[in-house]
Amino acid sequence: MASKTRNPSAKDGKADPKTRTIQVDELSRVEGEGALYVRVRDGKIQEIKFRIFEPPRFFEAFLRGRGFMDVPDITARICGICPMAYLMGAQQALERALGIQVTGQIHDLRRLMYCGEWIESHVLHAAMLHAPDFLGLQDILQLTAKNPAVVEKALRLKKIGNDVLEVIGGGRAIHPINTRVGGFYKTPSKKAIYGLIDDLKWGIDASVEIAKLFGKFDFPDYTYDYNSVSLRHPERYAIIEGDIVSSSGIDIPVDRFYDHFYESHVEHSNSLHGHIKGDGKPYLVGPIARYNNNFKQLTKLCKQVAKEVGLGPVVKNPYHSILVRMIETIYSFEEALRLAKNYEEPERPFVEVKPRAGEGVGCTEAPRGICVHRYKLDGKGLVVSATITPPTAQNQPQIERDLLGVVEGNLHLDDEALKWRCEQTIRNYDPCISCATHFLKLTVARE
Amino acid sequence: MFDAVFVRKPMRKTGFLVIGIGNRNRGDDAIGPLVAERVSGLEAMEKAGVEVRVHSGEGASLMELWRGARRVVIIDAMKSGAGAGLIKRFDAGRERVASGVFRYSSHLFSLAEAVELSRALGRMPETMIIYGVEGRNFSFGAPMTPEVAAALSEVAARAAEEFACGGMETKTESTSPGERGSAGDRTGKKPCTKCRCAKA
Repeated sequence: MASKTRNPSAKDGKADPKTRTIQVDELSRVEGEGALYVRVRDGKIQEIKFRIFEPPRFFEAFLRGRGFMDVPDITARICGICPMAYLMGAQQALERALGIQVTGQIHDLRRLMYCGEWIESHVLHAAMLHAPDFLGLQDILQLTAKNPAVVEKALRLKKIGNDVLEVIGGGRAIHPINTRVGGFYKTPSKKAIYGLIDDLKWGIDASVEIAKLFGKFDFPDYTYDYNSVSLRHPERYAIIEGDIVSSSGIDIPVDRFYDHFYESHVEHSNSLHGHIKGDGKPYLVGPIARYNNNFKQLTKLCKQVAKEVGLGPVVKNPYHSILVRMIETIYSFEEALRLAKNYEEPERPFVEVKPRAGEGVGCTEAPRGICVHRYKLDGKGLVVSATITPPTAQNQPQIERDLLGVVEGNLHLDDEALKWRCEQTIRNYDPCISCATHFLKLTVARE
Repeated sequence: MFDAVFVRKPMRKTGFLVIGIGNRNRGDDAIGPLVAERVSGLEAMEKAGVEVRVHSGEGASLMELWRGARRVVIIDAMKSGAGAGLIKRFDAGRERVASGVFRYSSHLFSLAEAVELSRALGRMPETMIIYGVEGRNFSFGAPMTPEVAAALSEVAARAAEEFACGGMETKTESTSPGERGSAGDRTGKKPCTKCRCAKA
């Protein structure tokens, strides 16, 4: 992380003692390129801007005219960390547009695969990228020097998540090649899935251990009454399906998402900002939102560990996100184990699909929050229009709001300490900046 | 037969590995994959039993990839401020790999962190050589800078030369029985006089 201090109002090389700007050229341990600008005058924040200058990639535009079968494999390239959100969100939206439903073992295999993604993404972020913040360490190397056993364990947990993805996804954890509209090109053998079981059992105990260890961290004292937006499913902790609910009372099927939510462009960012129509306030998606909305559906073990690490049924401290990620990791291992044990090879790996005109919306819970896709197809099954709303775009206004509160409450800190706290705050969201439109630049101007 | 599709191909018994890191669609970042492609077509590499892989550069899975390998040669684009096309050889077993030289921007940690983490956890292969090629343009869809493209043949030749002894001359005294390679690989070794491994 490179940083420097400068004075924006300096003239002729002479600094104005009343003003100062602190600039961090790169924020590490996040995905994508972005910057944070904070302007403070007389101890009060005048302006706060979380900028994403990752260049837009125009996925929605170049999907137009493509056949529906090409779409998921193209959208998967939006992200190397959570390709499932872009594969499955697209597949579900297209399946709705084409009037088919995927059920039974194919459905369960999708959920199992998604558990793999939650595991590898959550463990990487919580244990290897976010944990150093709470220990006053610069990075994972310092963490390794301090506690190599935890890092070894985290690496193995992440590998198990990747193994799940590889076994089902055709040998690739990143951009799996075996999924398609209607299901899979080939389904794995029972033996291959059963081969995951011992590791999944080990993963439950190991993630509980890490969650309890993280529960001993000293968490910054900041709370916010979040409007949590997530999927909710009547039977299980929502991962790949459900209705969209919010703590403010929204309860809608996913195909009505764009009736209630919209994105707007702001001058300071290449990423759109997500809003609720008629509200204008920020909202939260991701692990804390899911936990707050669906706590009752977590397993007994998850609830027990949550209680042990000091979490109630509603989380308001964003720094507790690291604990919630570990609770969801425990859940993912338990759920993956259940699904693996129940796996039987389906008679057919996919549901047959025929092109037709239609429109469909799909939504899954990416590790960072709901990821919504909408496609309109013509009679030949070619894409007429595409809209993709990723989680980080939705969280961006909330990240700015959290930063406002955090900076306001910590202006007594010196510049270095304040920068550290801001970065830690942004990492609460594990923001996927390149998905939302890589490095972050932090500028604090004190006037 | 079918399961073979779903199970990661086990590394060859020799434990010799070439990894080309990068993204073919981001200008000079393509140098790693292109060198890997060039090297994989060489008969000598096949003869020596060298596994060749292309990789995105994500640290955790890189560590998994070289776990258990004996000799690893990595090719990656770098951005150190030097002139485009400069080729630099790092002996990662002997020197620390500076963070920030090898380009990878993600939630993930990069090649440098993966090497140092492997070292801290005692997971380093016996030999690890990294060829860094200085890049200039890493934009989406950009062609390779001519100076970087011109370095391709030399890097491929030097990467292949790392295995010129046929892999029979690596430091085998630290290899635990039954862990790596065949018994034949671990017996009757003399310091290599033909390739760079002897200089390591």
